Amino acid sequence: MQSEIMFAGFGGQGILLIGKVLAHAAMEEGFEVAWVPSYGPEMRGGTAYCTVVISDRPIGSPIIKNPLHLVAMNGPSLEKFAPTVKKGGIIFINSSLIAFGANRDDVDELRVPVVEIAKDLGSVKAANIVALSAFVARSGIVSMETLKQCIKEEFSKKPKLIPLNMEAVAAGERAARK
Amino acid sequence: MALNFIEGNEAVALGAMAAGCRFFAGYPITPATTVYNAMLKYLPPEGGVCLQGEDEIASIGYCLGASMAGHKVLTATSGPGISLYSEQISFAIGSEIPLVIVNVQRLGPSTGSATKGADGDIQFMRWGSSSGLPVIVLAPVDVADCYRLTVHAFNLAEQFRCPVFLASNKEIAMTRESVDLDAVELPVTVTRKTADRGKPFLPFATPGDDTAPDFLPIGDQTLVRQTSSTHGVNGYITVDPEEINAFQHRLEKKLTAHVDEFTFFDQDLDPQARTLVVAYGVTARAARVAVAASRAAGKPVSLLIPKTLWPVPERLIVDTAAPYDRVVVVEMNMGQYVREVQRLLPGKTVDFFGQMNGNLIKPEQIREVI
Repeated sequence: MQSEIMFAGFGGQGILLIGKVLAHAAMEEGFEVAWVPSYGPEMRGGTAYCTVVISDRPIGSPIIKNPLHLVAMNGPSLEKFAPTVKKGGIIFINSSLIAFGANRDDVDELRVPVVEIAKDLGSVKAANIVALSAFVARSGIVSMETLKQCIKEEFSKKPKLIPLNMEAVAAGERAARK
Repeated sequence: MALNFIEGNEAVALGAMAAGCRFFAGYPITPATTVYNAMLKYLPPEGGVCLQGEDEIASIGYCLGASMAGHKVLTATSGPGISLYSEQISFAIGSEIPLVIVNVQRLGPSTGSATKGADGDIQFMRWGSSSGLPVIVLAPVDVADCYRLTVHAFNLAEQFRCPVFLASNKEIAMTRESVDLDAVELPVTVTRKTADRGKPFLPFATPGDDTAPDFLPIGDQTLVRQTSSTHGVNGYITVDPEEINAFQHRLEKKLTAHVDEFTFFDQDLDPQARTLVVAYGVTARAARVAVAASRAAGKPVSLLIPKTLWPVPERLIVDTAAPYDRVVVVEMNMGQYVREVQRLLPGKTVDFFGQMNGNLIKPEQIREVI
């Protein structure tokens, strides 16, 4: 069994980080994982993608033409990658920034206004964690417990941010189950 | 089994530490910087030195000095940095200074695309310094290789006293993977042979015409002469054509005569196949998937993944390719290593597929060619 997840958006949205956290969580659950970043030379703006491959056997090519799931954090990413997602996959849409849909009837479309949710929690910066949590809750790709553990580890050097991010996880989970 | 979730560059640093590296100098450049970051984490607690030079030229200079003083040294850069290293690389070749250089290749020419991968420096690493004398280049495929081949790179640098390149690539260096480092088999660590301190020391005297000289560090009790000029066995400048000739040939032969001893490779051969795919570096991973898929679809194909690129492992390529009618070389460039394969296999059909647009070659693209 192998799943591939494409995370895509602008540089600065925390795309690479959430991909890395998911890969880490899947490894903790015993899977083979690969995380491939792809971004422009800019620190902010520009495009930022990453691909996460999660498999129960050694991973061959970490690059895939058709991901099983897509987490689209901005419009151009959705336009570009929505047609490539495999049938039956999940397309997560950051509806705070994307007014249109995936235009597919063979996938599970999940729309969450992550920016508004994060603002309500106190910081727009947590929007990426809201998105990750919502995606994980809907896909069940790893357990929410492992996810929380890995987020705590990711922020272990900035422990002040952990409570906010735990709230973001809870909010994301609620949004996915609505 | 404890899995690590690390990137290729960090695995290089761990390999360097395992090999006994105690000195790193470099100048930051994407996508090689995280080698420096990792060495900064690992070296000081072990009593090693990790520093950022004022530029690439100074950085490799520090490395050469530290190596002459007896340390195992590492530096890491990308294509533009290799250009700046060039003069000192030929110094290291000529004065037989052990050195491991990680070249995390990115898309060129020039500063090119900092965050896009390519294997565009394959001929450049071999021929990018004056004299045309050989160096060793090893090409990892994944994170585990970055760890294992770095230890081999240090061993080879010590044994043959020459620069050894690790031909990494942005896509190997920055991809994080789950890997069990404890399960990776590492070679026994090699350290350069020390000269007998009781005897008069000739810094470039060798027992044969295909070996490296024994070593003494500069700055110690015995005077050690080092020069970038053409020198005789005593380290003084020479104009004697015979001595010069023997020196040039020894520098060539000490590597080319021994390449069978350090020919690293993987293969996946199918006795039914008529076609052999040759791919190295990150491209080999796509090739593995393509070959398996092709086989599953009823079209048998074989695969050779050379991990020693220079000196060219000629015996490996000629022997492996012998049963096949057609050889397909796939690389992330416009056609570099295919030249070596073609020259070794006259009479066979050698086809090439390359891509240099910032994207990895996908398994589907390789299947179309085979």
